[in-house]
Parts: sequence; C-alpha cells; structure tokens
Amino acid sequence: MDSLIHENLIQINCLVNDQFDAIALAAKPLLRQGYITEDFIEAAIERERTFPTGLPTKIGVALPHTEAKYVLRESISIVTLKNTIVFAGMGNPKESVPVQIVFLLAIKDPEKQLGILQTIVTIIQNEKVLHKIKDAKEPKTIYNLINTFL
Amino acid sequence: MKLVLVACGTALATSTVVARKIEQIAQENGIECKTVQARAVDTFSKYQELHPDAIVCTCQLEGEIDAPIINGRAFLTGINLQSTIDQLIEILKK
Repeated sequence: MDSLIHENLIQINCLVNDQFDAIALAAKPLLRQGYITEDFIEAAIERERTFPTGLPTKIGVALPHTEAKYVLRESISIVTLKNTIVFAGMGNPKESVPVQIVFLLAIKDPEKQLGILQTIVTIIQNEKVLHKIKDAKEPKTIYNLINTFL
Repeated sequence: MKLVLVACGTALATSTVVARKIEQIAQENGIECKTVQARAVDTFSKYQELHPDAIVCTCQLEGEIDAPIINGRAFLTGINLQSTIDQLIEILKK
C-alpha cells in the first residue's frame, strides 16, 4: 500500500499563533509538493471555523480537513507544536481544546483510506504514542512510529 | 434492520471511521444495522427522508430531530467510549 505518510510532510516543534496558522503551516508542504490546490488552505480554515476538529485526548489532537475537490493527491501532513494552541472542540465549537499535534488530512476517498484513518484514531487513543509523537526530535521518529501501526 | 445516520462536517474522514466502528459494534452484538453517512448540512433532510433509529454525529446539528442523538466523538478519542457503546446498543436493541 502506498502510504499517505511521508517524512517530508512532517514538521516538528513548530511555533504558530493560532489554530488557523497551524492549519496553514501544515498545508505548506502539501501545496509545495502538489498534493493540494491553493484553495485547500482557505477551505480547510473555513471548515475549521464551522466544524472544528479539536479532540481533548491526553495530548490534544486536531484533525483539520476539507472537501475532496481541493485534494490533488491524497496525503496526511503532521505538525507538532512547541506551544499549545487552542482549537475549538469537534462537535462543540464553544469548547476550548489545547492541541499539540495536528494531522491535516488531504483525503479524497475515505473508504480507500480507511486503514490509515483508523490507524490515526488508534494512535490518538494511545497516550504513550501521543507522547512519543509530541516529544519526537525529528520527523523520521514520527514516520517510523506511525508505520509500525500500518 | 436498524439504520444509523452518521454525520460530520464533510462526511469525509471522521464519519467514515465512526460508521465502520458502529457497524462492527452492532455485528459483535448480533444487531443488524446499516449506516448512512451525511454531511452536517444534509443531516436534517436525510433524517426526514430515512427516519434513522439513531443519529451519531461529530458535529452540531440543526433542525428539530426526534431521534436519539449520540455524540460520536468517543469513537475517535476513546474517552467515555464504553458508555457511548452502551448507549448505542441500548437504542439499537429497542
């Protein structure tokens, strides 16, 4: 299976101002490498405003994404944050969820990508793995870690 | 056959994962159950059209809905997962 996780789509220990900044940062390598259209970024930010994706797991995670039409090639961008950033809670926009790990999903066909989506869900339910991701000093560590679950 | 409507913002990522989990849980509990995914904006019309036994959502819903609504976030976070599963099974066994 061609994995959607790539070492050069993982950014570590980043500083951002807010959740929208985090989405834009996560989208950067996707845009540069031709995975998404330019409009993806604005659409993902807009969707985050309406349907926020923060999850209050032991280490907070956000799963921003947007419609398939903005995705050219499927992939997942990962950003770990140096500072905790507040996302609104999924299903509960009034809830403030401190987030340190962002998985930006550029997905067209969720049925086909069910395996990787389920892997991400398995990972975010595992506190130990979340700690390892948050504390990773280089992208390769996260890449290798996720691949052990695939 | 029970029907669960699974709603999320774009009916793309989270609802797919949640829908498969619901089908798996139903199967493990000997309940015949089908899921239909919907985008948040389409959920009310799908509800009117399909009359589901329950709606599981990871987004806020609008409109007057007279079906049990379950917050599906537990299927993603694992937090309060067992109570969410129990709630779902209780509704589906009715």
